Amino acid sequence: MSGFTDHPDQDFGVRIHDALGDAELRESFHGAMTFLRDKRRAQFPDADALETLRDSGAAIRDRALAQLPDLLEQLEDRCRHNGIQVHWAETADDANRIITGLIRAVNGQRIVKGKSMATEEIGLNTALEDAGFTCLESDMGEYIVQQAHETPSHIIMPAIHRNKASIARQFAEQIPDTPYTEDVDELIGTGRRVLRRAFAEADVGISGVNFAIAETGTLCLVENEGNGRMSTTVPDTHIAVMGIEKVIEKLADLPDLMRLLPRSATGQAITTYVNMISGPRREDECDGPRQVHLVLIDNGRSRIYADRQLRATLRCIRCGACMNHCPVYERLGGHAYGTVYPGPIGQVVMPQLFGLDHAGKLTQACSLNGACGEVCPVRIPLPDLIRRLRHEGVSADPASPVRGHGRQRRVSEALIWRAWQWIHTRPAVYRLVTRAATRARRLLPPLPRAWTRHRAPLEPAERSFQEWVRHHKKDHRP
Amino acid sequence: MKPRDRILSRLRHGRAASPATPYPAPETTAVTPSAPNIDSMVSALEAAHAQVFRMAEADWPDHLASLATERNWQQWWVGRDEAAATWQAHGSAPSVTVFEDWDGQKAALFDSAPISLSQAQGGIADTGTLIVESRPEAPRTLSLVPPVHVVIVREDSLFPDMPAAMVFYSRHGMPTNLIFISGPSKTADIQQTMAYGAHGPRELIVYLCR
Repeated sequence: MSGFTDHPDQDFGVRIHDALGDAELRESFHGAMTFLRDKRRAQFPDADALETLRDSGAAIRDRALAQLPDLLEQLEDRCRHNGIQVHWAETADDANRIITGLIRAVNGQRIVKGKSMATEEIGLNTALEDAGFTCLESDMGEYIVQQAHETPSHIIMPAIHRNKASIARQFAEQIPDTPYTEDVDELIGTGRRVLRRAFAEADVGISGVNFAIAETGTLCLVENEGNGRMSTTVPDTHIAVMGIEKVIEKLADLPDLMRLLPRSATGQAITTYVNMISGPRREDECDGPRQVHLVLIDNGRSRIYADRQLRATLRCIRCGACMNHCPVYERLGGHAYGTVYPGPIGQVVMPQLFGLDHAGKLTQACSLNGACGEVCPVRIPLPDLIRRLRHEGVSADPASPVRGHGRQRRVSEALIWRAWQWIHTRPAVYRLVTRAATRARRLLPPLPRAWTRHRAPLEPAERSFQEWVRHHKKDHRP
Repeated sequence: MKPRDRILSRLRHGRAASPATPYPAPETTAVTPSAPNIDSMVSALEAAHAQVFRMAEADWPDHLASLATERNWQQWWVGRDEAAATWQAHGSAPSVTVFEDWDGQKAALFDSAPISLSQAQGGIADTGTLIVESRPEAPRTLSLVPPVHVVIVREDSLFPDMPAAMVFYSRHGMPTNLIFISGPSKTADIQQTMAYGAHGPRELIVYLCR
C-alpha cells in the first residue's frame, strides 16, 4: 500500500530498495514505458518538424508565463462574463476549503471526479472525506487505484503498476455480482456499468483543466474515455480545479499544444475528446451544468515564478513524457518517489513545493543522462533544473530562493569537493597527486562500503592518463 | 488583501524582480492547406475505430435505414437539429425519442437509450475530428451517453486543420460547450490494452455527406 507524503525524503532509500526488488512491478513498468516510448516515436517521424514544434510549444508557454498575472485577470474577467464563477486559493488547504464550501452550498451528496492531477496535488479526496463526503474517481485507472486505496503511479496512466490479473481479482472481490475475468473488454465493461450509475446520480462533478484560454474564458479538457465530459456535463454543478500556470493567451495557441500533448503523452495524434467549456448551460439549452466554478490554485507556484531559471518549471503541460523516458523512473515506478508528480518533473516540482529539506533527496535519483530534457514538448531544461536544485540543496547562500536550501549540505562532502577543486585547478599539484596515486595504488585504503556494496572496487591505473598520452605520442612519432 | 490580490501581487513582484527573456518563437512557415483533405478525414476516423460512410446528402437516410434493419436498431434518440428532422421525416425508425427535457428524461437516457443521431457542425480533416457545438437544438449528452452514436457531417463544413478551426471560433465566439470528437470512447488504462466504450459511445458511425 502506498500513499503520497509531504516528506518524500523520509524512507526514500527504503522505497527504492523495495521497488527494485519487486519483479512484477518492474515488468509492468518496463512493458508500459517501452510501449509509450515506441508510440510517441511513431508519432514524430520527422525529427526537424518535431524540433520546430517543440520550439513553438516552449514559446507559447513562455509567452503566457511572461504575461501570467495579466492573463489570469483576463481569464477571470472572461469567465465571469461567461457565467463561470472564479475562486482563488493560495494554498492546498484554502482550495479544499473553497471546494468543500461550494459542495455544501449546493447541498451536494454524490460527487464524481474526472482525472485531475491538481486535485491529487491538494489532496482533495482526503479533505472531502474529512468533511464527510465521498468523491468517486471516474477515470478507469483512477477508479481502480482509488478502490484499492492506492495512489496513482503515473500522471497519465494511474494504474500502470497493476496487471490485469490483479485488477480482475480486485473487481471480483469488491464489486458485487462480478465474476473473475481477465478479459479487458469485460473489465472495462464492469467499470462502465458501475460508473454510469454514479454519473447519472451525481450532483457535483469535479475536474481538472488542461489549458485555460484567457481570450475567450474557456476551459479545455483533453481525454479519451469520456469521464471528463460526464463529470463536467451531467451533474448540476461543475467545479474545475487548476494551477494558475495553466492559462494560455488565445485560441490560436491551442493547436500546437494539442499537437504536442497527446503525442508526447500516449502517442496519439489527438485524443478522442477535446472538451472546451465556456460557461454553464444557457437558459435555452437542454443539458449541461447549471453552475460552473473555476478554482485557481497558487500553492507555491508564485514562488517558483519569481526565479528566472526555475520559472521554466511552470511551462509543464503534464504529458508524462519525461517519466516515460527516464531510466530511473522505469526501474522504480511512480510510488517509490512518494509524490503526486513522480519522475523528472516531480523531482523538479516537489522540492520546490515541499522544500529541499523535505524533498531534496529526490533530486539525487537521477543519472543526469538528459533524456527527459530531450523529449520535453515545451523544452523544460529538466536536467539543468535538477542540477540547480541539487546545488540549492547544498548551497550556503542565504539568498537562495528555494525553501529548505542548504539542508542537504554535509561538511565532510563540502571539504572533499573543496580539496578536489584545489587539486584540479593546479596542474603541478594535479600531476603530483595522480603520479603518487598511480604508483602507490596497491597501498591506498579501500573505498567506503557505501560504494563497494553494489559496485566493483576501483583501483587507479598503472599510469595516469597524461603519462599514458605522453608515452603514446613518443612511440608514434613519425 | 484578498487571496486573489496577494497571488497577483506576488506574481507581479516576481516578474519585476527577474524579468523574463521570452523564448524565441520559431519562424513558422506553417502552411495551411487550402482545402480540407477528405481522404485524411476518412482514414484518421477509421484508424480511430469509427465507421465512415461517404455519400450524397440525400442518400444517408435510406442507407441508415438498411443499416438499422441489419443491426436491429429500434430506439432512436435525437435532438431537434436538421439530422433529427430528416430522420423523423424518413419514417423508417420504429421509435424516435426527442431529447428535450433533462430532468424528465435523464434517467431514460442513461438506462434505455441505445442509439443517438445528431448533426456535427463541422470537422477537422487533418485529425479526423468531428466538431460538435452545444445548442438549444443539440443537447451535449446525445453524443456521450448512448452506446452507439451516428453523426451526420457535411464535407463542405470541414476545416483543413485545427488552426483553421480556431481562427473561426476566435472570430465567431465560442458556444457554451465545444467538443471535438475523434472516435469512439476508449481507454488503455488496463495493461495498455485498448478497450472501446469506456464511458461514452462504443461505436461511432459517421456519414460524411457531399
